[in-house]
Amino acid sequence: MTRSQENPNSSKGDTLRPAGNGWPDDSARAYDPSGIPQDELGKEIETLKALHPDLQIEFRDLDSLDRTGKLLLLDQMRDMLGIRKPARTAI
Amino acid sequence: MILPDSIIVTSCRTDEQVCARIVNLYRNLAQDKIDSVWWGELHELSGPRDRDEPDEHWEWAVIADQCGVQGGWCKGAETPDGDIQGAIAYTANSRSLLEPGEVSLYVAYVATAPWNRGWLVDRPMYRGTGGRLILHASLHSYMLGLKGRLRLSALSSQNTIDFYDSIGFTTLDENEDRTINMELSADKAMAWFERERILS
Repeated sequence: MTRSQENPNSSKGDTLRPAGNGWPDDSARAYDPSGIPQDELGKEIETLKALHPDLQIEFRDLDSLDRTGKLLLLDQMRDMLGIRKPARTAI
Repeated sequence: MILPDSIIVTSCRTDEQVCARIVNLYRNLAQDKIDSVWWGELHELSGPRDRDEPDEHWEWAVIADQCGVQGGWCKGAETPDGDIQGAIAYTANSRSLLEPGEVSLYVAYVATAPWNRGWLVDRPMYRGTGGRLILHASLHSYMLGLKGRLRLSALSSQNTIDFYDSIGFTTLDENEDRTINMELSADKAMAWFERERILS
């Protein structure tokens, strides 16, 4: 068990700024009444881009991509970062 | 594939390995499958106890909401019977203490269902859930280009620290409330992946 001891917005100096610095803008993320984000793949892509701002890849309108397009984009980004694929679906 | 979609847990009763599906926990699901279930069922199983568990007051519905706001992830491991055997919440906004300048995932909450805790019930249902959820988070860290790094603040019981130590976490320092900062380095995470033969 762990317990959250850290406010990511705290002034401890050991956390990233959560907004205005490439971090996904949560206010723009669509939620349904149960709080479910509409697009987990898009979130993964946006997070990856935010964590690696130097990654030389451009995408303008993520919403215009279908699932296959987003998976291809995600694969491309991971390839560029040298990230290997999981070997199985259950760990 | 974003990530492996299941973890493997072991039935304490039959020693069989069981696939538990990783599900994203949002407010309603966390409320229905954890907050409304975990501790009520424990009271039926074990009767009165001397003291509460440290996580007994956690509201996973609230944790799931907080995760959404922070751009993090709240996930549960669901066995085929539909029960959530454990849950984890983490964000990608923490700096590594072991590797200055690097980013780490931060595990804010992780817990296994009360009926899986051998110190609470005579016959636990499943073992391995907590460790596998930590492995899932570490693999997500890797898939986000963070090389498997994880940070967390562990409750200060020796059992808890020993558990994270056995996985490969390094004990760092103590917080004011006596929780312990611990971190899984990139090297230790990669060694774990190699042992488990997770990566292609």
